[in-house]
Amino acid sequence: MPYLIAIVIPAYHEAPRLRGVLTAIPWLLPEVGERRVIVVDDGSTDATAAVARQAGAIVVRHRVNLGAGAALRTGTEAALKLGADIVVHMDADGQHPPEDLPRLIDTLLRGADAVTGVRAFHRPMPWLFIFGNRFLSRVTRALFGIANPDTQCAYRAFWAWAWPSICWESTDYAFASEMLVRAKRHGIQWDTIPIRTIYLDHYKGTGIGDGVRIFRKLVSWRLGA
Amino acid sequence: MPPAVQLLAFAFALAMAYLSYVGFRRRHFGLGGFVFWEIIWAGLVVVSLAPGLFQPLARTFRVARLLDLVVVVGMLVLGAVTYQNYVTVQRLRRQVERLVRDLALAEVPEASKTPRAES
Ligand SMILES: Nc1nc2c(ncn2[C@@H]2O[C@H](COP(=O)(O)OP(=O)(O)OP(=O)(O)O)[C@@H](O)[C@H]2O)c(=O)[nH]1
Ligand SMILES: [Mg+2]
Repeated sequence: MPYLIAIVIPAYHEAPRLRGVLTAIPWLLPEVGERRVIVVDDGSTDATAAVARQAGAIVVRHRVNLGAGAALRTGTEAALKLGADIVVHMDADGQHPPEDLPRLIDTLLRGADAVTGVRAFHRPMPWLFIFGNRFLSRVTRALFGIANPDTQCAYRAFWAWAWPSICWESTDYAFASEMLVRAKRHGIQWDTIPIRTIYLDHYKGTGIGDGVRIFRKLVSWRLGA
Repeated sequence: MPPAVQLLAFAFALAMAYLSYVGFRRRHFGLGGFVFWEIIWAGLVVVSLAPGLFQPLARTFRVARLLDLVVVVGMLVLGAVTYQNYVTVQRLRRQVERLVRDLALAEVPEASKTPRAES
């Protein structure tokens, strides 16, 4: 049965990189009958929305910036509204290798409810990120028994029916952890596959403050808040 | 001549009382908020003009001088205001998020209820 797949791309001031990302998404995907690309323009003031439209994507626009977590949630809700069977999350800054997309889909077809990429914790990744990602993944394992070695990776795919068990509240970067915690509590089978690690930017988005906030939230979720 | 702290407290209380009045006139808060804040500032005016009045009170609270009591109460008020701010900001954040998301999703067409044609 061919599926409708929606690729949701949150974008905040990504005009320079977005076109390349959009054109690199493969057309041929396993068992996919129809492919929609949804770009969530998270209140950008540059040409992000125009670039996305030009490349043929569906553009959903936040009037003001809400954060990566909020952008992906809006994008996912748009995907469901369009009738998607499979939802993919992919960053707009070129850090998620498009050639790994068929393997993400394949993992779903083999029986996983959801799947995320796992990056290699060495060379191209800056040492601070290696430390932070390792630390958060270990804390997540210790507190929730979630075995995912790279909890912060935002390259993922899941079946649309799993959305109610995954849906998060965090508008910031903590959403990646939150969805794993919620999924675990609902018994969602969440697989991981290794992906190519790409680092292009001199630090842009995340920093130590984000790591600390995610840690704080993990602890508060454990305590039942 | 009263000490400088007293004058300072008096001037501060008058200024705040005026600001609260302006805030009320501009409907930044309701009558309840206005009365609440005016009572606070009026209290400060009284304390700043006649600290002796409250000396027995200071003794029962085991603080050495009246101004210490004022500082302690001030901290409590600050705590309450901070809490109030926090609650308000959280509510606003939720409302803005909801609004922005609804506006964004309104432009997305609903999938037809009929099952898609198999290709
Ligand atoms: N920084 C940031 N990114 C956003 C926001 N809203 C949506 N995004 C998009 O979310 C995706 C991830 O953002 P990044 O800042 O690259 O986060 P990251 O890849 O986890 O962290 P880095 O390793 O610093 O690149 C990108 O496609 C952004 O364009 C926002 O408010 N801030
Ligand atoms: Mg990035």
